[in-house]
Amino acid sequence: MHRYIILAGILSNQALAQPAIPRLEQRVSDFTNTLSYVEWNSLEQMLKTFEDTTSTQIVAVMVNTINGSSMEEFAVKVFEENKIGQKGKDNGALLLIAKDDRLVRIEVGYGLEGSLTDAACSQIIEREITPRFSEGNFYGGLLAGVTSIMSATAGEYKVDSRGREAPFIAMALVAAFAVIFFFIFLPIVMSRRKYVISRQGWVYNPGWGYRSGDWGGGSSGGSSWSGGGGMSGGGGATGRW
Amino acid sequence: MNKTAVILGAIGFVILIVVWWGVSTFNGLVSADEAIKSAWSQVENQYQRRYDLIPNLVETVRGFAKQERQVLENVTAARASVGQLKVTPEVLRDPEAFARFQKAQDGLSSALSRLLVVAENYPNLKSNENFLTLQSQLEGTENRISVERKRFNETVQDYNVRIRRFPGSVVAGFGGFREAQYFQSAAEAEKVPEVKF
Repeated sequence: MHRYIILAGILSNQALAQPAIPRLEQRVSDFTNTLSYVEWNSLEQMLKTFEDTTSTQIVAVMVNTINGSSMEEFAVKVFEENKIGQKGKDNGALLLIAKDDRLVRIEVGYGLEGSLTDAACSQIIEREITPRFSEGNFYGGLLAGVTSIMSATAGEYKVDSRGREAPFIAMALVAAFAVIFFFIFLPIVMSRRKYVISRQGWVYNPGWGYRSGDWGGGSSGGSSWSGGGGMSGGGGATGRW
Repeated sequence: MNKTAVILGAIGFVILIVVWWGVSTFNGLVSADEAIKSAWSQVENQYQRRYDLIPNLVETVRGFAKQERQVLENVTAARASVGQLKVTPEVLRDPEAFARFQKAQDGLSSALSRLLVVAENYPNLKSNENFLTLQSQLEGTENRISVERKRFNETVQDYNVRIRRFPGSVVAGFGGFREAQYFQSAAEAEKVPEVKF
């Protein structure tokens, strides 16, 4: 019983202390009105090109404050909420800045932990990012940070050649199953039972829906962006300036 | 004659539904149980990673701060006591063994944080490249541990709710599903050690 109370206490405490988790619609989200349009756009385009060629999703977020809550927890939540990185590859990275708290964190998806190690993140923060931030050069710090993250991860994941055709393969599979279902499976079962209609749900089994994650992230481009379904496990580093 | 057939048919139908429900509930519990195991293996990986980082860290600190014998020995001793504990899936069901495991790991956490606090007093150590790398790896690992512990607790909560809520609890009783253990919030262990000057 105590366990539940303690656990509930922890969960509700966190809920109270945490600022709202932003839902990201771009690769670069500036909630602090710091970047000019040209600066924002150049970072956004750079990350988009990088994502299109390597499938690695790098996302930068600037917020004003995290209200004294833990930067690490906040970063994991932003990562979880937006599912940065491709599903199954978990090749996402989040560069998170709390401007008024003077905190910066790089949060690394499971799939990038091999190349973007905690030590690498800590170096990027201390050598590339915070020196520029303390001069008030936020665009410079972001640019240097993002560039270093890209070069650290480059080569870890290439878009595999099936990447672009995958949706078509999935659709072909669904179509093949539909044919099998309607012309072979359904008649056989129909001849025995009557309430088979309820089994139709099988065709739309969520198992096939996972491809939608690939459409959402990666190669779709366009102005609206969303994460591809990646996960992180708390890897990365935090720094302050 | 016809009436009994209808009644028997109805009873058979009800039994079929109950059995079908029982089987699907059972399968649900099995997957929840598996989810606990995989969440646990993530927790274990991170603890192992920390275990492997320590020898290097201790050596590096010793190179610059030989006189901090006590602090270094505490870390080594805490690491040794963690190493002795075998974690089998059974431990997840055994409150005492689980508490022992958690106590040992939390003991290691506090020994390590004391070591890092002490390291602050040695400027040469603090600017040592090797030490900085190890420190960032250790911080990263501690954070991973807390993330995976939180996820583990969420998985366990889902499982425990399933086996304790009424209709499911019957199936859980038959299937021998036992309540799994949570990590307690390590309030005491994570308290920053007091530094006396």
